[in-house]
Amino acid sequence: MPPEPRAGAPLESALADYLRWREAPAELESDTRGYLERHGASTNDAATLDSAAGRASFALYRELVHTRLYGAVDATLPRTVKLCGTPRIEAEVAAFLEEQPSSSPYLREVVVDFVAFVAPRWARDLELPAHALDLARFELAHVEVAAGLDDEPNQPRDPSADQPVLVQRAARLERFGHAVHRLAEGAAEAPEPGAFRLLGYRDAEGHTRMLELSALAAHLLERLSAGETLGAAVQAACADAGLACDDAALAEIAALLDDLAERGVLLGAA
Amino acid sequence: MRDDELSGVGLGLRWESLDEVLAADEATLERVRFFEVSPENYMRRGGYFPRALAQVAEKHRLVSHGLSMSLGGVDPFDDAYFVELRAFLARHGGAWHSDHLCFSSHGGAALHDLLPVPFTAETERRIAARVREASDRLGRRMAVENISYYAVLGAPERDEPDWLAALLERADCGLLLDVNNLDVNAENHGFDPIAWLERIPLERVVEIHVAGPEPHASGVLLDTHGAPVRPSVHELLAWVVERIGPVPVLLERDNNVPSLAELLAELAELDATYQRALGAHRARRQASDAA
Repeated sequence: MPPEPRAGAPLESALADYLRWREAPAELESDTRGYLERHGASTNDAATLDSAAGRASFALYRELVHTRLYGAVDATLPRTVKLCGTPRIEAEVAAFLEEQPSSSPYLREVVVDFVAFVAPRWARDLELPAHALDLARFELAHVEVAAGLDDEPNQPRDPSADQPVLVQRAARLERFGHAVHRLAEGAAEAPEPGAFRLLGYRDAEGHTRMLELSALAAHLLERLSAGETLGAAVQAACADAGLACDDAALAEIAALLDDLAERGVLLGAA
Repeated sequence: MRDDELSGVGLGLRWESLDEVLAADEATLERVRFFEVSPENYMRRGGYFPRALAQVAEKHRLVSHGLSMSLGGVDPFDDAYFVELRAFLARHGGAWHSDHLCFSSHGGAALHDLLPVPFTAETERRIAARVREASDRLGRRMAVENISYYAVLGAPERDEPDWLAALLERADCGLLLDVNNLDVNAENHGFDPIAWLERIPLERVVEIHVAGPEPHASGVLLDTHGAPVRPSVHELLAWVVERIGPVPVLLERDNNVPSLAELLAELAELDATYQRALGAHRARRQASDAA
């Protein structure tokens, strides 16, 4: 059910609800005055809008709002839109606007909220390709890494075991159930299922990169990102990965830390 | 409130032409007196675009024009947005910041469109109060833009020029006069744009916007910023400049964005209109002084 109209703005409420609620166009079409008066519009205001032109103007705004949001989704997640098809994405945009619209003043963040909205729906939807949600999250991760906040200027210092480590602010670790990162552009086949951990980060030139991580590396990065000290993170990451923290694991971690530092993901002692 | 040092024709800085702007030499951009930016495209983000904007700002004047303030809305302002906008303006802002006379969010839902408000005493008071609040929050003068509207919400208590004049007076703010929006509204709603202009306080105009609309399948003219500026908009621009004199004039292009070279060619045509109107303005003043 639509929320109660906002006090003092009956016509704005009527228009906003019309843009969002699936049933609103039919309601306005069948009983324009009733629809508007239910929103608190005066008899005079309702009568003014009770015309073919009045109804058409509401319909035009609905088209504009839905088209803009669809366009933002398409611009951010083009492969996902292609995979799922325009009608499906249009329906999802309509459901998103009705059920859980974004409150962000930034259009790019609306797409983040859109993906969060569709995630549980798509996860249980057997009609969609199984990797649709992973592909959406993968495409979104690229955009989010590219737009991630810049790091403060910092003079890197090697961390000791009892210090936390600065992680690039734009970097993000994502887990996927399909190898969407190996999926060629326009590929018809479904990607391989499995457990994949991808680190998105910006390289020295500012380009977005995706790096596949081992389970140990992913656990370590998660713990460092959470602010744990280097020593504690190493111990805990080995435990998370079910590994003994022996020389072999420590050697892998040392190589990983060097590699991530070289890539600009780890920025030295916090 | 007008920035006396800033006048002439500028260009909306869009991502599509950002690389070309950065690569262009001084001579190429000689006619571009300023760039206008939408802060929302650069706020709360890092990476390439804010860095590129900083590079543009090193060489060019910037004017800020927002998209998401929802001055016409009834939801409380978004506190975090204002904090971020104030920080952005401290770095890149000019003498004023502008946004639209519309609502763009309602009931907590961001709708990301320029939605019309009724022309009533209640909205005039409400929006004027919000403009003042916005100005206080930003520590900067505000200007408001007349929008293209495709619906007249209810039975208007006033017509738009009366409503607008009262709002500007009550808010004590500037007017970003979009003559393309005026042209679009005049065509869609069937009124005389010059008569409209004659009834608004032109002394409050701090900036003028021009753009090109496109027809919708329904026959309505849509303010898409997706086509060249129409001759009728050149005429409205000239009419205003002839009466108010030097003012920043912005060419907006957000859809079907052509190459920078094509944009600059259109900007040159606009500049020619602007300079002719300035000449007429000077002649008017001389005639007035002589009388």
